[in-house]
Amino acid sequence: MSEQIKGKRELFVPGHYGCPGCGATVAMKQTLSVLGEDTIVVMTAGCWSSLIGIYPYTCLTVPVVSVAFGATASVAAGIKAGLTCQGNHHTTVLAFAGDGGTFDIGFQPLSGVVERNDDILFICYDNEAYMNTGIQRSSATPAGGWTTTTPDSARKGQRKKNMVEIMAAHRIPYTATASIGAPEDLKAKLEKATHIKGSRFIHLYASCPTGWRHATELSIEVARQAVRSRVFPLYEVIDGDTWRLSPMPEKESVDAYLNHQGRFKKMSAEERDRLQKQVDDEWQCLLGKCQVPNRAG
Amino acid sequence: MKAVMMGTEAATMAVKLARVQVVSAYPITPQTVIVESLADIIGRGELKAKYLPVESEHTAMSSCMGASMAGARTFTATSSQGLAYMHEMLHFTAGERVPVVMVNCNRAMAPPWNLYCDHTDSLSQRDTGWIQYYCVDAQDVLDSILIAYAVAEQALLPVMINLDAFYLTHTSEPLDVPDQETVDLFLPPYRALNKLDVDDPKTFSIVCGADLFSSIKYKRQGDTLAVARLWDQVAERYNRHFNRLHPTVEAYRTEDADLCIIGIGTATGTMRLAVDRLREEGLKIGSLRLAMIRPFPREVLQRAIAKVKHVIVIDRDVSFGAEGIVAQEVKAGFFDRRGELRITGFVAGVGGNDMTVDTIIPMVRQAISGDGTAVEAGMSLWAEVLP
Amino acid sequence: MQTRTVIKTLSELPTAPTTIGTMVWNQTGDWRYLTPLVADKLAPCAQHCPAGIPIPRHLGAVTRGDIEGGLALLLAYNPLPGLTGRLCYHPCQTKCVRRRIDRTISIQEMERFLGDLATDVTIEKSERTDQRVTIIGSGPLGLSCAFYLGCQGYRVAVLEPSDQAGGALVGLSPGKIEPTVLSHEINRLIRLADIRLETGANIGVAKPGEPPAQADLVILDPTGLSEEFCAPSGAVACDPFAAGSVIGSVVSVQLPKNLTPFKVPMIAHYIAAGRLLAKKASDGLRRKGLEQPAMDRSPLAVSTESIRIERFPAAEMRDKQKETWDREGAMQEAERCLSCGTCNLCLKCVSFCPDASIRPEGRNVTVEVDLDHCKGCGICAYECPRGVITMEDISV
Repeated sequence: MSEQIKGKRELFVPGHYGCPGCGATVAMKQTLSVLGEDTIVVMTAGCWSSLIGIYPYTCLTVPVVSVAFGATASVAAGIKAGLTCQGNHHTTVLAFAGDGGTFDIGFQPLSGVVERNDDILFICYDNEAYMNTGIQRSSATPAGGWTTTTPDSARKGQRKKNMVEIMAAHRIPYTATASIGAPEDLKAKLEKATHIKGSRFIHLYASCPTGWRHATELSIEVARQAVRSRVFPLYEVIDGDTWRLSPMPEKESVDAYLNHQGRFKKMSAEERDRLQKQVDDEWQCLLGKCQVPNRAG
Repeated sequence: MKAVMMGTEAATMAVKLARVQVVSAYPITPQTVIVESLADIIGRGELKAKYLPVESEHTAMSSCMGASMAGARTFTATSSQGLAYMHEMLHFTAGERVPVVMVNCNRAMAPPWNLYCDHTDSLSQRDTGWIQYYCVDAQDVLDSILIAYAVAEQALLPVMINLDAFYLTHTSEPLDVPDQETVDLFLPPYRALNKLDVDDPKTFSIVCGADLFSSIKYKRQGDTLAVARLWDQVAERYNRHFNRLHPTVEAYRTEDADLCIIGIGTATGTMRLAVDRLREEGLKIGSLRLAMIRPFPREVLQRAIAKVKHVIVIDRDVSFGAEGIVAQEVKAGFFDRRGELRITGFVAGVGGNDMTVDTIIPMVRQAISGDGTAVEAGMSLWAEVLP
Repeated sequence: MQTRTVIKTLSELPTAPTTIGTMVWNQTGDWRYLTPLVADKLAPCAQHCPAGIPIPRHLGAVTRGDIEGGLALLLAYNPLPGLTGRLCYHPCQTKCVRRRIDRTISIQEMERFLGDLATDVTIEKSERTDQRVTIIGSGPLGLSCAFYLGCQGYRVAVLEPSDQAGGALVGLSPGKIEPTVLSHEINRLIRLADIRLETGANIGVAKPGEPPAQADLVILDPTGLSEEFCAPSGAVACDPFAAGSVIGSVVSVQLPKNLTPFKVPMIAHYIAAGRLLAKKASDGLRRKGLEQPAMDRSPLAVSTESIRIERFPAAEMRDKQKETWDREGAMQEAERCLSCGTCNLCLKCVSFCPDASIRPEGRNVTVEVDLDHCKGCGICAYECPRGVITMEDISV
């Protein structure tokens, strides 16, 4: 880390419009610190395309294009094709989209691109709602969560779409989950991903103090709690069929995770119990896929 | 080299001669021949390019934009619904100033489903900032695609080459195929000046405030307007290499004409036959083909028919609630002569209705006399409708 | 602060909507309510060190592989580490936070290892002055005092009436300390601080009670001289641990009761006394010339609650068994230090800052906040596992 700060050009400079404590910016900063200068970033409508700056100024000093909503993966695939046909096989093309640009409006092109196994790294910074437009529900919003389109009078009933399973089902060479609260794990996964050719997908959990209604200093802590509680477990899937659990901390209940966040304030005890059971079931299921013997922890 | 080719095959040949580097497309009738043959020549290595068999037209255009921003020469082809599905990305490509060249096969928009010729698909994209060129025959397809790359890469604007469904896409015609060496002289490799470059990193299309937004659009407007002249200059250069001229406006027997039929696409060839026939009857009539609709070649058009008193525009399209789109454009182009010039608009030849000499002549007679079978709806007269 | 290049004419406008500069001009620091304050605090080990050594500092240098740098940092508080590393009763280790996880850091062993280094180090020194200080007696207090005065540029002479330097340390049993260690320590001390040491010196007094040698200041070292020499007439008594500077030109050191007579395991106390005396002496000497600013504020102790063991990455918390006390082994041991209250450039704050507004400062020993851009989210303070960063309201 320190060599990067000292020796090389700063790839992420201050002055952007992200909210205080923004997890999505931490996600980008951590990502670029591993990927380095030889990276082209494609982003789409979302927090990042708004916070990055105002024309004609930017906070990233790698090439960036901010494209139409939903076109992240497809533009990235085009850029890679364009580079390749000119003999450039080294530049990493990073598609960096939020949950809206990945789970929802960007879903079809993403599916198409990874099905063709185009050589891009797609990172979804998941803050579990359309934060840029003002915290509206997405298919990544967890059940029981408050958003402005799933208000307290009608909180979301449906569970979060499992994007990693969908990506793994495309049989791409590398799929992983990661959290801004586990930077070492993220770094290891990014390093692994950069050495793989073909479509690579990283589902990067990025907290949002504004939308999740938690204190700004807790952004990293909340991301860690999601991992500890197994709400967002860390794992990777190689070639769509080999599931591997990443180093996981001791398990704790979902309560600590829920309690920090205002968006879950209205969850009843039954809802919490239901969530705990779902998390436990999914965790056992994941252990099974990873062929780790069942265990309570 | 002489050859017999369908319009779609001529397009493929042009893509090959242009040494396109990235092709990204999604099949749609009647464009399929293009994507199939491109997949084949790229697969066989006849064209050293990357072919992206994408899952939708939105992605096809997105990928072309990306590849072009990376500095590659790119091509795609689509038609009708596919073009409509690209709509958002058409704005984007023009705004990013990338020289993508696309073939659009003009086909009717659903509903109801119809596979045949209609220009509403591309004309309803005329405000996206793309250069629009409408071909008349297979030779025009081949040549105009090569000219389009030269123009696009100089102006940094995307170009749409339009082919009438089936009349042009699937009709075999003899044509002259230029040799690769001369094409290479005419069209050197694309050297992108403004691209995604890790050695010169910039952020493209970041949010812009009111302070510079208008200036950015104004600049693009100026650059787009300049393409009308630029095309004719590049076409002249093409003519010097290959001895074939493809101007933005092509007038036929208009020198002494009082009356002029205006259209776009393949029907303009038929209009010439109608003109010949009507001239035999002593009518002082000519015809005019608008090859370019965007930018609208207003000056050339005005000059070409400065003395005409009555213009008949035949549209294979309609802007619902207004009239034929080309008629609107022509009217706007002659606004200065509004008191002295009569303009009659027809909507005809849509959805598979052939436009022949025998359908055009009655429209001319009706335009002159007001007596005929076409019925009025709004400002347009519609042929081929039920009584 | 970077200035903003502005597009003023159409011709300056890029063809494609591309950027021409960065957002650095945008002072997002205006958004801030609370401000992160980066300040090292005393670690529990340092709090209990009789010599007040900020132990995590030199362990940090060793962790980074800068062994000599580690020694230099240690010498700034303790010029006789080879001796304390063998003799001190090391209360530091009983307070080590790491002890709660696996085992305490071998702070004393580290001190000994650093003290025994044969390689030379460079230390910070002030410019030479013409003022002369003579220290009579070469016990640990006198040597320590001489070292720090020497480092401050005074012309220091240590006069030892006996044949061997070391005062109360001479003649300790070889089981406690080898004579070679003592000479190694003393040699380094006088070399680094540019001190003149004279053994078998004529200290200018025939019998107790007489005024000693000529100098701007004369200090009598109670750990170097027999008791009867220590209170000549005209000498001013001075307690190194009390407030105030030295007054007068002959100083007789008055140590607290628990330090008299000399007790070997309490050697670090005498070293501290020497250091404090040097500070007081220097304040006194300077007062003769120009006014000097007040003493540095001593750092606050870190609260044990702010050491968040659970935030250390598991990899960092693995107990690395040191094989031997070579450079590699020392690094392995030093790496175990949690660096309580002391920035060790772990850079968690840097990695987690959403605004790229905290970075290593120029000397590369701690971090600094870019107040032009820091939005005051507080992540750095929350994530610092050692309690170095706190959020403060400095709006007034």
